[in-house]
Amino acid sequence: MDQNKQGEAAEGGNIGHPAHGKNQEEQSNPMIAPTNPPKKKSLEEQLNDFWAAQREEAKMTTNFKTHSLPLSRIKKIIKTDKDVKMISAETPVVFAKACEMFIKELTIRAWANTEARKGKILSQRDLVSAISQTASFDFLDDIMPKDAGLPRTSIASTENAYLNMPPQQNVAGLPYDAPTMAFPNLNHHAPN
Amino acid sequence: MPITNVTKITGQILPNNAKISYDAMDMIQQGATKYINFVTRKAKEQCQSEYRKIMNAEDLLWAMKKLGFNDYVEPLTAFVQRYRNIEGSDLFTSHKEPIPHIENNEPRPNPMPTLEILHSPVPPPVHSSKPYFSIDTSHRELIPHTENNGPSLGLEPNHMPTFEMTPLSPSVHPFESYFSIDPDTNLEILDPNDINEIYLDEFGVGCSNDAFNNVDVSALFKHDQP
Repeated sequence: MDQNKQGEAAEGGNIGHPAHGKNQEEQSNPMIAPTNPPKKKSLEEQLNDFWAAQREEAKMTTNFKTHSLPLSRIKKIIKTDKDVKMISAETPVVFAKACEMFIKELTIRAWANTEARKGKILSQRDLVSAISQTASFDFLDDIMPKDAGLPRTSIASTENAYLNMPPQQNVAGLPYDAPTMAFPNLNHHAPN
Repeated sequence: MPITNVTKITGQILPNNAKISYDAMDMIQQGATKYINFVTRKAKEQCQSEYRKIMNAEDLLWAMKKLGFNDYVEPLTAFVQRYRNIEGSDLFTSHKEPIPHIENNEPRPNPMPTLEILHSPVPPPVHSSKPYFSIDTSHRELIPHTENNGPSLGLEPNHMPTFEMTPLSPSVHPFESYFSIDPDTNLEILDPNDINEIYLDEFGVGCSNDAFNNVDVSALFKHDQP
């Protein structure tokens, strides 16, 4: 619970709207008692705040020269579809903005799963669960790893999942997996 | 999508103490590319349904609604309106910056020279067929010419002398048979045949000259008819 509160406060700071931060703090107080509902509501609140911020940001945008994503790259991706021959000048600009929103939404949903399992590193498991929970993200099933079923079952279980995690990560054989191996152990010690 | 841009965007939305694994970052990167392909495919359908060749912002917003990204439409609508206001004013004030377009010019089809080909082989058959037509037409069309046109008037005096000669020399057998046949059969039927035979036998050279003249005219008519 403390971690959740700290996370919310940090997110408020990152958004850069002190008013929103205050609102979150006020709303979080009455939600101390329940355990499961605050997780769901917190995600919904985060998304609502995110979209509200996006609307305000869209209205206040003044600089269209610098984009979060390169337009030339976006044009190449659009042109991979051979049937698309001509596009207006505003199409890549709109796609740049839409992609930015997509990446942020996906990251928020995945991070909510990271917090749910009390982790500190956002990993593929969190993305897989976020994608499976969102209907509009069904088109991303192609980029899911082959063993997509395992993360879901691991997330469903509690302590057994933590015990099984190390060997799976060992099989992956990536250096980034090493820190995650240590953290589950710490998590095990913490509740004890 | 460049990984640096994706990292910046995720950094803007996550808390400071958060970290993302390399696998997760790669997955988000692929997801962004997949998202563009997904929306582009749907927007293309809208363009094709309205027979338009240029994809614009409305097509993207329509596609996002259809694909379930309803939350994106409102912010992007405001974004597009603001973009058009600012970019429109920029373009109106300064024309130095060209608008980037992706165009594909289609080659124009050239007309086929079928008519010329059809015309070229026509003259040789006409020339080659003339001698053959001349023989046939001479036998056939002399009859209508004698009946309808001036040559018939010219032939009549020829016909008259023949009748005069027959009574002068009754001793000749073929002439007698010819003379005797006339009163028995109809004159209208026998006159053209007799004229043809006598005319060809007596005046070969003149017949050939007249035949060529007549053939030229008839040949032209025949070719014009089809």
